[in-house]
Amino acid sequence: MKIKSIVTSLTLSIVLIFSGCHRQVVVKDVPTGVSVQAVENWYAADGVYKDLGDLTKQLVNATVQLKPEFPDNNSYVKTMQGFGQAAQVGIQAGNYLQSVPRTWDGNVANKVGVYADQIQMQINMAINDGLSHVKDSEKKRAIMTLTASINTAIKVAIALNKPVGGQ
Amino acid sequence: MMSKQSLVDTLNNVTGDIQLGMTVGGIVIPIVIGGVKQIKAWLNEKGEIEFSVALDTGNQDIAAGLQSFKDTLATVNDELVKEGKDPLPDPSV
Repeated sequence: MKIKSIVTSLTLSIVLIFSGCHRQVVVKDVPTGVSVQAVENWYAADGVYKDLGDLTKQLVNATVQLKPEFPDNNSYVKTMQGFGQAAQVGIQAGNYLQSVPRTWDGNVANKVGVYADQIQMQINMAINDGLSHVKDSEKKRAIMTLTASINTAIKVAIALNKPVGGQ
Repeated sequence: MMSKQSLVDTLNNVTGDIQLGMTVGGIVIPIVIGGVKQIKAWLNEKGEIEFSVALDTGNQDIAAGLQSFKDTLATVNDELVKEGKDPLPDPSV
């Protein structure tokens, strides 16, 4: 993949994630006492969570196909364990979100932010422990593009989940 | 992070349809497939949605994201077992 197309891919991935895949919407008929901004952030953040799940899944599937490019089995195992720990945190985040339906206060926002931070940390560890040693430079660049998209999604998730009103 | 306007400006310099993906072992793994025009439309869309629809869609997205993470953990565990390592537990079990 040429540099230009990689940059274009990265940019468009960011566009899609940043926009929450058509999530720039206004939520109508919000009940009295519920913050419209908080509901809109929750709605957008759910879209980012779904994107994070999709992108992480694609990254892991791509990594499995890159297995022959790893310098040794140990680095491949470390990478997989890092991705597995990221997936565990993603599952915890999803379970937590399902356990607090119709709730979008600052506590939920903070907790989701913590989960997003942990996912990012685990993915970056997986990259540093193994994926960065992939031998083929073009394939490595492609995988880094996808990883950059995930990191962007995480940043958006964290930003969206900041408590409304600066709490 | 890029501003929305900067992203639109960048897209305005791109023509045609673009497939976002990565080629691994001769196989294209799609990330996102779409036309630039469609992406531009999304960026410029100012839609409205009912509260109840937002709730339903948001909850569906949480469920879909959760399933993706579970699928990912299953894939990872398959690979770890092949390498003689212990699988990682699903925290929801």
